[in-house]
Amino acid sequence: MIKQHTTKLTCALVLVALQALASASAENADAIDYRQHIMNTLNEQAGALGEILAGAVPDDNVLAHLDALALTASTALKAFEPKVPGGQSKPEVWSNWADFSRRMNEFAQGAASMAKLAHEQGKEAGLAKVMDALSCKKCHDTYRREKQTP
Amino acid sequence: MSRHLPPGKADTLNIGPRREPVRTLLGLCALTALLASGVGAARAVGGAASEMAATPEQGRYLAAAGNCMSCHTRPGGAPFAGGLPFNTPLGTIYSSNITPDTHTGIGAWSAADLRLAMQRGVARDGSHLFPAFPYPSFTKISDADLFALYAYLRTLPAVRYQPPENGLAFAMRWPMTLWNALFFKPGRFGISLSKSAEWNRGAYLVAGLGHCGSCHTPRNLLLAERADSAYYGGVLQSAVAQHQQRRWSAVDLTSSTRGLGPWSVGELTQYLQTGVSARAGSFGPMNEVIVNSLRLLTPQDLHAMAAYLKSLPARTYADQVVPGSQVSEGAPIYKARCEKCHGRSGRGGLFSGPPLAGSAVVQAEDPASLINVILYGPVIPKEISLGEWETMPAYARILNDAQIQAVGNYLRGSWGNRAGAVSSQSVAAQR
Repeated sequence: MIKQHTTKLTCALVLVALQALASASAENADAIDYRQHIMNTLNEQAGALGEILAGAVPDDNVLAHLDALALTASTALKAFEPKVPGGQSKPEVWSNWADFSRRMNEFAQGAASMAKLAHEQGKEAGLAKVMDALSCKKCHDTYRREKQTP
Repeated sequence: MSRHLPPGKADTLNIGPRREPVRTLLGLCALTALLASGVGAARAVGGAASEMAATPEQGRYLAAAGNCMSCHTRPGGAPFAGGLPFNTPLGTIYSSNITPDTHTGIGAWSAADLRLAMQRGVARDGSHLFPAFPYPSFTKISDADLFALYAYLRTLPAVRYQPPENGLAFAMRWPMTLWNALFFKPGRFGISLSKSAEWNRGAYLVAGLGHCGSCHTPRNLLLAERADSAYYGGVLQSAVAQHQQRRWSAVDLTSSTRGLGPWSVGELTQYLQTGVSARAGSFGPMNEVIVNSLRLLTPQDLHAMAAYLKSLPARTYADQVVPGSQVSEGAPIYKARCEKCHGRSGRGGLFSGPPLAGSAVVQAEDPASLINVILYGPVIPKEISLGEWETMPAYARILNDAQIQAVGNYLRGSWGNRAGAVSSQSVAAQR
């Protein structure tokens, strides 16, 4: 009798643990998905702005793109708060959190002031700040890695 | 720098530290140049129109324009002390020490000796030099510029360093007499009076000191630049480790659609000055040319070089295309690995990466450099900044040879690019 109970209990415990693991990994995957959506949005908006700056398309939407960048940038740091390595994030994101978060905040502030400048003084004034505000490369070089799986 | 010079073979041309004869001589040279080619034209190409121009300082600029440093400095060695190996099909040859050390360098050389080496490919002891030293280009340099260069080389610290012995094939120097007779056309740069002063200056720098053709002109079986294919794009080897060479393709510099056709003079000038423009970023052996040479030149000279290069008539190619099935094979790899930075349109972007559509590197006849940049990434020295372009990773460990071949074919056959298919051997050869 006792033996049967122990077996049942063990099974139940294992099930609970497995469920917890599964839901943790689902949460992890959600956290990675979420930050990837945000980084991809930034990438797409910067790409759209790049097309405008290259003269490939008219510049009518500049203000909207700058607003979209500023808004999305303001959400980015939050997305990295769950300490979930994976995707293209290097573990340094969390081991150097002070530096990472400082840079993310600077990025968000820079994007916001670029958008504000464009609204107050015109597109050209905003665009003049674009290379300073969108210096993505430095952080990517430090905190992002290439996808490894072929 | 008051070194007393031993007498050279033609002592009248010795322009060492003794200032007065120097000035007289340079005055004469300048005068000769002026008489020979007309005042404006001489100024246009860099003949020192006044004796002030032929100072060591002027020579320093010319040494930069000639990129003497890159070949005459071995890794970790003293600048200009030589010893860099060049692997040729005939064996290894080492660059010489051009510091003023009397025993191992050119301290005993007179200005006339240097002139003979630069304009004729003959060393002070009368032996023939090998065209790994680009005297077929340097022969175009004006006397006045050579004397300024000499004056500068005298000011370098003398370094006692004997480069290693050349490979066996290079022990024999007599075949060079035959080679020279066949392929070497000695003579100063000839001014085209129908062209602008800027064009002439650009042509003088590109064809003479710049010796761009050394890499960008294809060579024949005896390693001579093919005069009928100037700047059509060439192939070179560079040392990446002690005993490891890597093959590179130097792009077509003519105005063909696979060369500099899509570039503006402004974009080309910017690239020469900084190593980057909206069209392309520097990588591979061109990095050294930018860092040790081009970025040290005046914007006017770089603009002149760009204007001259853009005037080169387009090379025509036999129509080569990658078969459609081979193009599409690489599409999924491009989408997964490359598209984020280089774009679906292949046009790249300001915050992402350089364009691949219309790229001379992508469409080069020999895909060696394209394969290198995929395998190893464009390793960029600290002196060059590619702005906000993302750093391209090395894919050597991420993609296998077949995948690199497939994506290479996708690039060479997409967005209007036209170039022959990448072979599996050409990928394997770059590993």
